[in-house]
Amino acid sequence: MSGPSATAGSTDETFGDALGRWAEAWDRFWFTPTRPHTLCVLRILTGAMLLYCHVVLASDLLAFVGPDAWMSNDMARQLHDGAFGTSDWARSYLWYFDSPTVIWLHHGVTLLVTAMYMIGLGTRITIPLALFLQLMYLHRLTGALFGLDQIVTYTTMYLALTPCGSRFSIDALIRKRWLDKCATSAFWRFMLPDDSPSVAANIGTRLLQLHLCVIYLFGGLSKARGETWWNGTAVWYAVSNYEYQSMDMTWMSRYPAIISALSNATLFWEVFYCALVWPRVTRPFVLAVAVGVHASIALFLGMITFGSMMIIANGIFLSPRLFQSKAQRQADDETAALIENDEVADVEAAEQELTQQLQNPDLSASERARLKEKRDKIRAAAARVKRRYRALKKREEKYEARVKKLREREAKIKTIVQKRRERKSHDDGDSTIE
Amino acid sequence: MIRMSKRRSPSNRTQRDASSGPEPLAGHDEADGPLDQPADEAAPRRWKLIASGLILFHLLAVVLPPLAFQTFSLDGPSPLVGTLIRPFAGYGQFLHMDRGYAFFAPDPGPSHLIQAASTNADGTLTERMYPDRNDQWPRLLYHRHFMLAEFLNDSYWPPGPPNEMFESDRPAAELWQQRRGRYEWIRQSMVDHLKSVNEGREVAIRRLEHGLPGLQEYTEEPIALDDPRLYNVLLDQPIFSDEIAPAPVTTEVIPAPEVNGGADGDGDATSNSLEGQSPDSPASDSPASDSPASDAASTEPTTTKPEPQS
Repeated sequence: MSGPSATAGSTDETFGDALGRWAEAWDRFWFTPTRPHTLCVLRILTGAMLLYCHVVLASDLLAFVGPDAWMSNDMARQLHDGAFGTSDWARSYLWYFDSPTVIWLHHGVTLLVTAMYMIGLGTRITIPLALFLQLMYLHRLTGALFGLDQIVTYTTMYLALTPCGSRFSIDALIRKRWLDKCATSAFWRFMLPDDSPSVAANIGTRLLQLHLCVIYLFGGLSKARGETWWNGTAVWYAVSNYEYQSMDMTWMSRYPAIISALSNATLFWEVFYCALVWPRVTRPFVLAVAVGVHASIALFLGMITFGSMMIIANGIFLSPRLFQSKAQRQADDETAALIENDEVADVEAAEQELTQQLQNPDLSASERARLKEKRDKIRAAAARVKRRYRALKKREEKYEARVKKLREREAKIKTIVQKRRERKSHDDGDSTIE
Repeated sequence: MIRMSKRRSPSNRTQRDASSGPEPLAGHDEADGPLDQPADEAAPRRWKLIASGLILFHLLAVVLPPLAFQTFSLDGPSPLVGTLIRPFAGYGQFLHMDRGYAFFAPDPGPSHLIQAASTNADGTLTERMYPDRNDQWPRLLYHRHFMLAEFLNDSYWPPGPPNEMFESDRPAAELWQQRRGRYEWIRQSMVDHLKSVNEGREVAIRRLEHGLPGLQEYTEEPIALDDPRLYNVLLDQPIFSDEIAPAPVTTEVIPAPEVNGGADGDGDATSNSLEGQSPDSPASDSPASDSPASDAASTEPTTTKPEPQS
């Protein structure tokens, strides 16, 4: 998160100013609209992973859900309803499904909804629904869960807040055909979102980024409480675990220094991930290590799903520009340049021109929607420029006031110095006379 | 918040550029209406305040559970964190955020397995291991079984409490009973499941621990990771007893394997033997033969459901 500026702490800054600066940083961090392209890619990959989880569950469904499962319905319920002292909100209606037919029907619906989530069909409904169904399964599968279930659920949860169906999706195709409807109906605009920058996309992005930071921080702190992550043998104990192993890595025992380096590096990387992933200079390094660590878990520790999903989740730190078309990137650059140049008149002129064009009754619906989007963008740019202008003006006034104050102080000091000199020369004159 | 936006300055822009993530572009949330009227910004400001409150609530629900996990001790979570987390607990539990994120932490430890034996009509035993890569495929399914075995082990609580504890510390004694009851119910649920997939045959299970060779030991004398010497049967015995295996041990036992006979070792075979094990089911017999539990494992398999303790 970008913090307050470097001037924080200067002597003439009031507490209110400092607070305002922090609030501004908060505002910018959470409410700067952003493109949803990264989220759209994450939707496909996370949807595919969740679908895979449900497909695998289907291969032995009644062993995990139902009255004769490893954790019977009664048992699963009692783990959450207070029968053994712990009563929590992790409730699931699946505790009450005894009929195999009903369980299979429910699972069929779950597979269908998750597939729709992956391909981006009706995402405003299917993603929240997929999340709900996933939570119901999680609360039913107590005892059989691990890190994969956590990260796939969290990613789905944050995607559900965003217009992640606006690109690379069936929704995007439908939107192209239903531009008229979208132009006239707020409901359809919500159901079939476009890929323009939005605050929702930014909030979803930030929440997942921060959640990842929390996961790594506490993962690192937990490791720091152990001994082997410090003495450098932890990686050995991980690769020599037969139940996790998917590839024999015991040859590493010949290189204890490498094992030790990997153990210590993992510990420090996890602890400092939350700080080093934000600056642009260190971010590529931190993400590259993330890919290395999780790819190793996927390939050597038998958790290909978990490792892959963690790499996918780390993708949230990639810029949406990476997934935008060249034309769209150019258009964004032009808008950004317009803002950078602070050409208020140009911006307003462009906006007026577009408004005039929009009044043309011969425009097709798609053309109208395109122009409207462009005008909105320019209008927003103009708003930014004006706000920035006001801020600059204010800052300038503040600066001038400060300069004036400094000059006054300088003049005062000069006067004092002058007086002292005069006094000294006067004293010297007196002593000479004496 | 909008007031703060008005304060945006070049120096702040530079800061934002140096920060992370998505590229901030034109803000369509700020675009509607005349630009110079502060009144127009009141609605987004309200919206932002509400959104900020919700975000803060959510972030606390994200951060506090792992903090509670870290500060947890035998006495429970720290009084401060325990109090702080209360308003967020239910929300976090529903969204599956009540986690500690302690992957392979504090130290990577041994694995725990379930060894199950079902008695066939002819009196022979069929033994299976959970997890077993040959049985459970794809890997995700194997991992779910692995987690179940770990869950059973994590839930373990020794038999007890001693009677005198009810007099000296009744709440602790009742907590003990509750935890033991929880473990027994979980174990019984697993036994019932295995019975249902084994045509109603008698089934018994026990826990095994698969130890890890130390780096130095391994370097000096390499050992196969599935070497039977690395497996141990985890006994179910009262911890307050001076005896190694107090009799009678009525829980977590399986009929002792007979000495003669063959097994194909895939975990699915009728096993009467301590020999013929495959690398993938190394513990199907050796722990029973090597550990005191094999002597104790002559009592009846548990089939009755214990009542949960309130």
